[in-house]
Amino acid sequence: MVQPILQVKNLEVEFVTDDGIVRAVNDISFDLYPGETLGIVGESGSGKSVANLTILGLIPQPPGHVKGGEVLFAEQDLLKLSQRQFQTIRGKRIAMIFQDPMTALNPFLTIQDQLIEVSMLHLGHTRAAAIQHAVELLELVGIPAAASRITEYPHQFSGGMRQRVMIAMALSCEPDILIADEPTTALDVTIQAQILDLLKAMQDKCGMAIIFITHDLGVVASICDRVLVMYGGRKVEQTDTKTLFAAARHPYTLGLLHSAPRWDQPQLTRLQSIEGQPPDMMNLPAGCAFAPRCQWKTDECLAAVPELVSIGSEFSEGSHVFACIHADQIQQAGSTSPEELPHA
Amino acid sequence: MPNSENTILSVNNLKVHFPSKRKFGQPQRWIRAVDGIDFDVQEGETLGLVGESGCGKSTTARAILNLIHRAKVEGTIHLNGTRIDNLSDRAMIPHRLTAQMVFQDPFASLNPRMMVGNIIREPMGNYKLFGDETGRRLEVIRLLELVGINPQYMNRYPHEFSGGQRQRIGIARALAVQPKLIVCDEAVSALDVSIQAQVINLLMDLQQKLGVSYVFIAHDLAVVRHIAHRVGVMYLGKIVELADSKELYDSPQHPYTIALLSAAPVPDPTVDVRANRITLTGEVPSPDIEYVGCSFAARCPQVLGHCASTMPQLSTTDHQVSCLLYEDDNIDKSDPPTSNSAKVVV
Repeated sequence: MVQPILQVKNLEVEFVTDDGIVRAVNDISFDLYPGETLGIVGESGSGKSVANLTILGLIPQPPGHVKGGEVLFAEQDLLKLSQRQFQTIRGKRIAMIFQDPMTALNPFLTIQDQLIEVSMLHLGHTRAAAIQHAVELLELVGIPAAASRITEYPHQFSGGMRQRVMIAMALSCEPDILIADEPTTALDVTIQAQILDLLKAMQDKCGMAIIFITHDLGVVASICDRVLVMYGGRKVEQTDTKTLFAAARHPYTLGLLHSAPRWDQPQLTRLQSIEGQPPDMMNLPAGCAFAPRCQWKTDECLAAVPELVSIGSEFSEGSHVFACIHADQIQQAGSTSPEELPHA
Repeated sequence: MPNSENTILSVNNLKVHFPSKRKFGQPQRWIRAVDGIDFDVQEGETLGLVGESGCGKSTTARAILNLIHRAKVEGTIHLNGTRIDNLSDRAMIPHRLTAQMVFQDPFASLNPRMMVGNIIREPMGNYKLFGDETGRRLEVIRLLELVGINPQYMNRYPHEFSGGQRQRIGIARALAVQPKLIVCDEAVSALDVSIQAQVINLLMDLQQKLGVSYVFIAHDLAVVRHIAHRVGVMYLGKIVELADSKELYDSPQHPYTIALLSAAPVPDPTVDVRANRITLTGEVPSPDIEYVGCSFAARCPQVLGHCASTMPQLSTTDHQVSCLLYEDDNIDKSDPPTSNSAKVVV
């Protein structure tokens, strides 16, 4: 039995603002296993980034407030660590790549200064050894003429190259976990393909686990082993990638799958869009957060938040967790083609 | 010149060169953002333009509406039969009734200090359309209903709406003068997938109801396939391939189009994209170089010996492609690819 490397249990995060309390993450639990890639999918405001920033202790408090839950890593609860204790983990054992390579690097420092900081701090390298290490890393992530380019500033690099620098920085201590928050969203498709290949190759080489946050189902299909779908700050579905695409059971997941146009198939006349708007995180409905947009909704859905139902044991083939009381109906509908679906 | 009376927009050999910052003692360099493109848009048709950042799609969008300033613009643009590329801003005003634009960022493109009703009413007032204020007010209500916003919200401000709703308001504003052509520059890129689908459906419904034409610019290949009748692929300021949408996606010809499609992720884990992916080495080069030959030659997996020295021309067949592989029958196709062929990832 493989032990999870990271366990997130009942995590709740809220932000106190002048207008009210934003309940960004509500009761999120998941396990991450060594060497796997877990995708976290959701729309803007679904809490996917906040959940992961919390794991790294990067939520500004206030206005943020971790209301409950635990994040277990290396037999300790990360939420209980002081900032000083966190320094020994963040960047060394858990590293992160951010969405925007344009703003995540300091424009006033050379690539070298930013890269050597990590290994000098965490690995105790001397400056010369750290530079040597940094050049090796840049070569590893495919930056040509790394030894000479390392003294350049971020603005002299293109977007794809900057993202490679970010990846090199994240990998410099060979972390156990890499959290990638929309690392390819700002990049063009051909560069995105290069970066996804690079991440996959680095994972094969270093054996790290990756949490891959994205809203692009195409990216999920190509890189993730398992997927967690978030809506309104909650986990609504979690299963392995194949099952998710073949037999989604939550109406939101199904809606997402059908609303994404595909370039490799003949076009349908209309896309199956999900009607309505994402929920207001300040006034989440009492019941299922997706109910107002759901074509299967009944009075029961509005009464209480649906419990997560689990089929199969976690991490075994075909294990499936979902939060919908009409899941059986939906699975039948999901097996039909999108055109035949009843339209809300 | 416009080919027929149904042609709304006709662009001929359009070039837009921006001056780059001049360094002391050095000659002026030019960023060749758009470097000789031709296309037509017919009534009720959607032309998609795809390409990576920096390929000149947005410059093309702005050039179509004569919104480029401080740049060298060559070539001709005919809008509804009238040449507009040489018109001043003032002379352009009546032609803005024909063509309107929907912008990428629904947060930056609406005036935060105006109520949405007024945002949509302003262009009508400018052109004295729909009689008097009452007529315009009724038209605003009609447009809001058309794009799926409750007309009761006309006295609200943009910040009270979500991104998708704001993009609907931007579309209503573009429709306010009843244009024949709407240029959508990455109009759905900033939206979440489920909302994006709503806006795409809306744009397609409006085309059916009103017969409006679109120039639809996006980097998302799937979105463009869905909405466009014909698609042009741009690379470094040029159209390298232009064909009927189905034809282009089903049998792409230009090596760049083939690479672009093979890199696009497919939302289906059973399709092994990696198996036949062509990974292009390198990145899009700087557009300040004037090429003698094909600008894609340095990255092309199927490059021929004479590609770097011979400029390919966009063919005039139905499936237009600008590549020497398809250009000349008397060229020896067995000409071996040179060493910089891209690797195929297994």
